[in-house]
Amino acid sequence: MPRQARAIRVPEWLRFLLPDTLDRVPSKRQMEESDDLIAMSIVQQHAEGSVLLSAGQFEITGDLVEEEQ
Amino acid sequence: MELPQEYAGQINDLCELYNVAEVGLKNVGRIKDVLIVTGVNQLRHAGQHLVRALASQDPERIQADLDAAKRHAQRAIYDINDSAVQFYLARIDQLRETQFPRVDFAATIPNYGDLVETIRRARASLEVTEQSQHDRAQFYEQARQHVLELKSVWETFQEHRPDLVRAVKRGNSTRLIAWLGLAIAAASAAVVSVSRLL
Repeated sequence: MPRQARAIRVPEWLRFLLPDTLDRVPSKRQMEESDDLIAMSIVQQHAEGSVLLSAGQFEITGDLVEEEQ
Repeated sequence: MELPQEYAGQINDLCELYNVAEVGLKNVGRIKDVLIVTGVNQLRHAGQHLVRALASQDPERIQADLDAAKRHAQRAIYDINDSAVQFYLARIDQLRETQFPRVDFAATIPNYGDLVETIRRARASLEVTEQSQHDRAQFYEQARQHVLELKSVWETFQEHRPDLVRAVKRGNSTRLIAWLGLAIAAASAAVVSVSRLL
């Protein structure tokens, strides 16, 4: 069985000595794609009602859905 | 099809809410068009309740539908602004924590402390649970204000993006010099040790 390569974990106190990378800085296109993902995720969360801690103030209880049923 | 005069006040309120929502939709749509989806859906529900109220002859039914239409319109305004606030917060988090996690922002962006405070206030606004006790118009205005402030914060980050990239490169140069210094010191120590042995 081949040995799996293990990622080397660098201790936090040593990290300041290692070079930083600009690979994480996105291009314009990557940024647009990332923005799309973020926006879609927010819309999805709203649709699922899993966000909006303060949205309960509007007392929306899905009444329209109930009526349609 | 026309509602009796007694509902005129409620219809006017609804009209105002629609106008506020419409302005929000336009503004947030300019940031990212998909963000208006939830607000539009709420307005769709509001419209449907309104049509039902118009079609009904039963005063109880009319009142219930007008109330529901109002709540959906209010929720639309909330959702529109909430989406925009969340969008900006997620973008800012990504920039700070993923793209430039090791950059000292305070040393790179002059008014960084103020920006952090603005971000903190906007984040806190999402967690407020007792807004129903407050004036709704004021609440909408605050939500809109958070969107505008976060937009400004994001633009400031964007303006300083080249500075952040320079900060990463500067940090790497400093590290390289530190390592070179360390290597020279180690080599010197080795030379001294060997020369003593000889």
